[in-house]
Amino acid sequence: MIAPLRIAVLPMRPVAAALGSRMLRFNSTVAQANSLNPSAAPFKFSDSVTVRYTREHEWLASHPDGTAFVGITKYAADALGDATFVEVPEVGDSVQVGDSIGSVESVKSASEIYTPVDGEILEANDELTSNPALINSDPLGEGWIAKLKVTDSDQLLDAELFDIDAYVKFLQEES
Amino acid sequence: MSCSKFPPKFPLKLHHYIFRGTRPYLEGNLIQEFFVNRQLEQKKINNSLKTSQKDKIDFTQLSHIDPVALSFQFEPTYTGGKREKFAQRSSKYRDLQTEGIQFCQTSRGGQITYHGPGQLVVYPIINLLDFQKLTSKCYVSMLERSVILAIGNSHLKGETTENTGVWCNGQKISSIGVNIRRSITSHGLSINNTTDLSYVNDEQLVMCGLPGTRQTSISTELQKLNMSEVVPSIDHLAADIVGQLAENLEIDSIITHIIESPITSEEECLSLLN
Repeated sequence: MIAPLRIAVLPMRPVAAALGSRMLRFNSTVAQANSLNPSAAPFKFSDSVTVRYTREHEWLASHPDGTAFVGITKYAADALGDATFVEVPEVGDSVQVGDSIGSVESVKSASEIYTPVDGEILEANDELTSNPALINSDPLGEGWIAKLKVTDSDQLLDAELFDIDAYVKFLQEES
Repeated sequence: MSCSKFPPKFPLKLHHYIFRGTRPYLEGNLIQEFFVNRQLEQKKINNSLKTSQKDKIDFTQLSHIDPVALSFQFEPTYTGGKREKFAQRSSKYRDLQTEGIQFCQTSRGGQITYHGPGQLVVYPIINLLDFQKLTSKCYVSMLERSVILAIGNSHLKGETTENTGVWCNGQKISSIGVNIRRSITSHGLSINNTTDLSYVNDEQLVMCGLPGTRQTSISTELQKLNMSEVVPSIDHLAADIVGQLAENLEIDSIITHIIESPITSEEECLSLLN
């Protein structure tokens, strides 16, 4: 009775190992898809960019001088589908954590975008008004939504903001 | 992406509130905001619990609010979506305004639409994250599917096109416009039952950003089939649609609340929960 059991256990090992590596590959693909496009403004603005993510699938790219860019992740852009309209914020507006700074509309559903930090809107990406498809093609680059001046840099350390690894882990739990 | 199955992650009941009579659009909006805020507040509590528990989340500590579906008939009102503000609209709207027709700007997707007596409006307020793989895109197509099944019960064949909504014999019978705040849905769908279509089939008024599109209603379509006697009551149609919604969302239990009295304050909204 014991021998057949051992035989049954042995083939499990390679399967489990394969599953593990597939999971790793999945993680790195997801991480890559949700990383900043290195050739667009949110990344290139300074030599040192810090990227954080929210539970609502926004990203925040902050720079040493207190300037930050906000947009939505690849995961969010895919879930929304083809954007037909993007609402961007008013330049000069003061916004607080959790305020809506715009929305993305696709198939008649408008999803609100929230700012992860307090700040003042320095610039809105007007390109999105004429070309909403940028949100789908390059959400972490040319499809940025707002550029703002962060008023309280301590908020960048908020435990509710994820780094890329934590965001990928969160995506796995959430779906 | 498959949009056919999105079972709830835990057992949920669907509360269907039928608001009887014809109500001001703003009353509907007040009620809708009340239910959205309940969901948002619970979500905030759950998120801070999740953050404080870091790696080991005790899911039993998280509470969930049951989804609701609000069904209404509104007084004649034109509403604008995010993409279309009324400011620069045709003078026709100004004429209508002087006739006492209401205009409201909303946060839903889509453009201008009309609500009025004889038209059923259903606003489902749900947390998309309470269901597996329910994206906003799947949610909208689920609403379309529910409408098609419900009007099928009234012997009509509904169809989808590249434009959102449901069509019957080439004319629009149901419009859809949704807003999503932190994965909580609001607004929803309208379906013409016995709507006075002169409010929507006017060449000077472009509905939903689709010039030349004509709307129809269940009663108009049944008349063509000489079946006027089977036009459903609004309550019946509401129960049908919400039944289909529940089925699509794999929710077994629907609790129906019939509300006769007007709801004009937050306090009266709270009384809906009893």
